Amino acid sequence: MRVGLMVTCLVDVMRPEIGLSAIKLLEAAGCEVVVPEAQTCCGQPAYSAGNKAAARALAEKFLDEFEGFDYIVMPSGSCGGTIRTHYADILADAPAALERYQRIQQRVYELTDFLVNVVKLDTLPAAMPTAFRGSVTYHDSCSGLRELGVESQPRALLARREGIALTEMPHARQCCGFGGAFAVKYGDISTAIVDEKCEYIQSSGADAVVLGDLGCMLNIEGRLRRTGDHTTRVLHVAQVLAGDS
Amino acid sequence: MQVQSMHFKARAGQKLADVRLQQNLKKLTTKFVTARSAALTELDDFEATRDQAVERRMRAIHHLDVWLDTFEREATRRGATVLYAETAQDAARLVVEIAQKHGVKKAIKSKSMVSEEMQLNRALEAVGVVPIETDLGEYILQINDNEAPSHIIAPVVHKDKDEIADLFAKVHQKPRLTDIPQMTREAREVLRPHFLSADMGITGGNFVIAESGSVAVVTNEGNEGMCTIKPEKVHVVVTGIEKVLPTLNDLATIMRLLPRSATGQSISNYFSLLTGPRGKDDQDGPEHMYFVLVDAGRSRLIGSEFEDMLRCIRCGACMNHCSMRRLYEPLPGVPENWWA
Repeated sequence: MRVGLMVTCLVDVMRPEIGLSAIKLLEAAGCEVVVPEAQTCCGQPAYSAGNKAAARALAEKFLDEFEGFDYIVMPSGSCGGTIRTHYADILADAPAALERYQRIQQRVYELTDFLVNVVKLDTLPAAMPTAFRGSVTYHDSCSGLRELGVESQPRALLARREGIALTEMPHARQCCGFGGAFAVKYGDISTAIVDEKCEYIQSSGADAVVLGDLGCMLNIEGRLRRTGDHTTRVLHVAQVLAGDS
Repeated sequence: MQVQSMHFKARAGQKLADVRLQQNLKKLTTKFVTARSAALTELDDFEATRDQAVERRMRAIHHLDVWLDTFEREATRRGATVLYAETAQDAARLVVEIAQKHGVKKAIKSKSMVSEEMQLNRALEAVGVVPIETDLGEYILQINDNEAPSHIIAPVVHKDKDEIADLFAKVHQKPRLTDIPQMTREAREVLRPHFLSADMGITGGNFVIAESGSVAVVTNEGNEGMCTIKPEKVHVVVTGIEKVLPTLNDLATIMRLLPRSATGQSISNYFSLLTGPRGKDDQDGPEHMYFVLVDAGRSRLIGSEFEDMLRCIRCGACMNHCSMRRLYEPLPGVPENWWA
């Protein structure tokens, strides 16, 4: 099975190690992983800012790069959500591309959803000696949860990772306040929302908050650190599952 | 109805900086969220029940003309008068005309968000009719210089006990109380003479039922019963045209969801199904019953990308769950943001 890994722009730029963890997990599941080198962005920022033409150009570029794979997987619920649920609208005025998209739509997956529901990964890769061990609490990202139904999948996988104990925080499904450009346009509201999220994370008593989206990750980690919490770790679910950190 | 969205950002900043307001909002909305999650587990299959409710609501919306006609026919057959208002202003004017026709001096009101949309109190006051809010939360807002409600279910959620204690002491001219049951009793004592002296009752309508020509009203304080039974002359129901349900069966499905999602209650303390004015063998009830059904843009949503808004059952759960909304509360004037 040939899997095209969409690394996503934030992972590529901010936390490339998450991309490597994703590859490790997919290979442990027996996939042949290919990372198209020219890939950039799914088009979500342009689309949510109202620049549909730019979003369409990126969607067509995505199709060029990924339509040949058996499956297309990404360590992100919001990029996955954009492709699975919004490309039909983004490509509405480009009938040929829309048709190509419709052929691959059902083969686009968020990483944990793919591992659980498509390849049914049994055994996680062996953990590095330096791998994180301890209690974790899982933050449900808005797009992954609401557009793709990612909720039980990461939890089921985390339960299989030795040395990891899941402790739910209150209101795990509540937004972290990032919301892409929202965090820039309404910085004070975004900050108030992430403060609430940080409070819930801390109240769970977990050593680390684990999540599946870079936007939430950078937002939550940034806020924890700026408010003096230097101990609660913020980890992508792929890193924990791969036993990398 | 004043548009205030251009002030949103500045107001949001002010509200966020208000520590007391933030504490008040968080306390109550968090309580609602927890109570709702617990109450939903009482249903065998919440998601399926909600899907059924959506289907029933959309069936009504997609044939709204038919169901409104049916409702009008059935309500009229039982002695009520059904009026339609194209705009919120028209609706207020219709209620004013009803009040004038029946020589009304005082109207007691049960909670109605549509009456906020209509700015009904202002319209009544302009012609010398005294409107009295009898829902405790709405009463508190009315005596605080007609402040706008901040939540469709819990209109005074943004205030804490101490603020209300100060307000009562000032307005009621009585010693300041801080015990909630005692404060409630004091409000009851103020409201009681109004219940006994009003000539008109005004209520909202959670739903109107086409097959029986009835209105369903969900409350927790019992004031709605006083508003619909006590005034001998008139009961006016004001609600949106989209609130029609074809059958009582539809209502039963939706009532499984509404109190649970709204306040985490299995059933509200009071639930009234009112059909027609007082009959000749009835012990009580108003001589005249009117329905004022308000369009105010709703019919234009049918078939549009915002059509789903019309199936809203006004449980207010979104207002408790949404972080955004909790953090910039209260709404800068409810009507332009919410219909209810």
